[in-house]
Amino acid sequence: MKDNLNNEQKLLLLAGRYTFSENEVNELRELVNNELDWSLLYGMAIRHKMLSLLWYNLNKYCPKIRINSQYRQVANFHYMGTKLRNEEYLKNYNKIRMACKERGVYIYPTKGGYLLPELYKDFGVRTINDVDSLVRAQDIQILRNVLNSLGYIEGEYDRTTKEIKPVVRQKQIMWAQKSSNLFPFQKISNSPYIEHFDYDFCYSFNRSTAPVTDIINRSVKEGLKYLKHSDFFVHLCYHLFREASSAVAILYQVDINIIKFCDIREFLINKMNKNDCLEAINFAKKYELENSLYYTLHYLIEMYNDEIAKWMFEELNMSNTEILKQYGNTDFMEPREWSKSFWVRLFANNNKDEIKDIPNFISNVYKYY
Amino acid sequence: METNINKNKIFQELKNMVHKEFQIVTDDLELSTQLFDGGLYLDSIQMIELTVAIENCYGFEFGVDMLIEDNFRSFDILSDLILKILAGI
Repeated sequence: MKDNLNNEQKLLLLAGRYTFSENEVNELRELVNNELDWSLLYGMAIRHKMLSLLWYNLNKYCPKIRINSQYRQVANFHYMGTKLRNEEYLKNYNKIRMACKERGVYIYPTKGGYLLPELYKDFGVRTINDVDSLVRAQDIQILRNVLNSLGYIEGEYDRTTKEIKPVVRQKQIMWAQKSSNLFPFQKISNSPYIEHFDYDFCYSFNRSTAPVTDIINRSVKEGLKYLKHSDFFVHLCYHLFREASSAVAILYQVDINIIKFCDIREFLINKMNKNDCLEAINFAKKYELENSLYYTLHYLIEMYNDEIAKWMFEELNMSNTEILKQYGNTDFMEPREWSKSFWVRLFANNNKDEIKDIPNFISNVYKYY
Repeated sequence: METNINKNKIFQELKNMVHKEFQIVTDDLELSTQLFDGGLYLDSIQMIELTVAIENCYGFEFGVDMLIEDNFRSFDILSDLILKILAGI
């Protein structure tokens, strides 16, 4: 449990935030006064995609910290490179957005594509592997045309030839059936910080296109540059819960990490008021996404214990603790029970040991390589 | 009546595809035959291969929102879907 964490784990959890209370700053300062295993800490920070954020917070709140110069340099370069990479990525994304808008297609960034410019505002603190957007199913064909005209193809990057290989139709169909995303659109980049651009487009939640269409229609109608806060929040929770409880995500080692919880926590405390929270609950209930909110808020409270998360959890008024114990609902005929606790899984290098048999999707997908 | 004829033609073509792709004897298949549970028991890979065969045969691509299990449940449902796509509905 949380009380049994070692100092490096405690520090990582504490640094896994952008908004600090005075007590949390003091706690951070106390923790770094201990003898720390920096190689362990860095390894965990990389696994949780928060080396930049850790470095940013240590620099900001503990500038006198004594740390080996090599460790200092690695983190500093990581922060600077992340910043340049993200600036390039998002500049490019805006070109796509504009081109889509000219053709009457509205795409809305989710996750890092919104959080970096609008919440964190410092492009160095959070890495992004790709930029994710929501798109209405009805707009997909025009979106494809726009992206193809800009040189993007639905495909996979081949590191040996440094080319994007178009996806075979069979794999594209499998992807559509299993995920809520189009196969990633990719393009080779000229930037030294990005090998290839990768843009993901989500058109459904739980195999239903209605909630995404609903969300986008609302934003277009209100002339919003970004999604409504309540809608954005539900999507973050949906995405977190889906990956946290998916056997495929566990095998690909993208199930849980601190930065995902940090994103939602920061968005909740900085962007959501109580009315937004209630709207998010209503929207989630309308489209049977309450489990996503329940799971997310439950663990946000354990990790950060913020008042607004506790208030929203009460308002959600659910008591389905079963979903906290299970995974693999969409991968197997029957959901599986976790053998390790949440906290052990959160700080494990990976959780592949939980998976006793390979989901069909994994064994099938390799038939098309 | 025109719709029935076309639907029957599509059904015949679907049976040919199933026979060609999976070497299944199709003499006893009916429009109501289920493609997976309780019918042909096609697995997920076979469903994908059948989807691609249909697309190649008719020269269209199923939209992502159409690629759901319910649309492929039986020959009847699948034929209706193909008819709708061909009619541009």
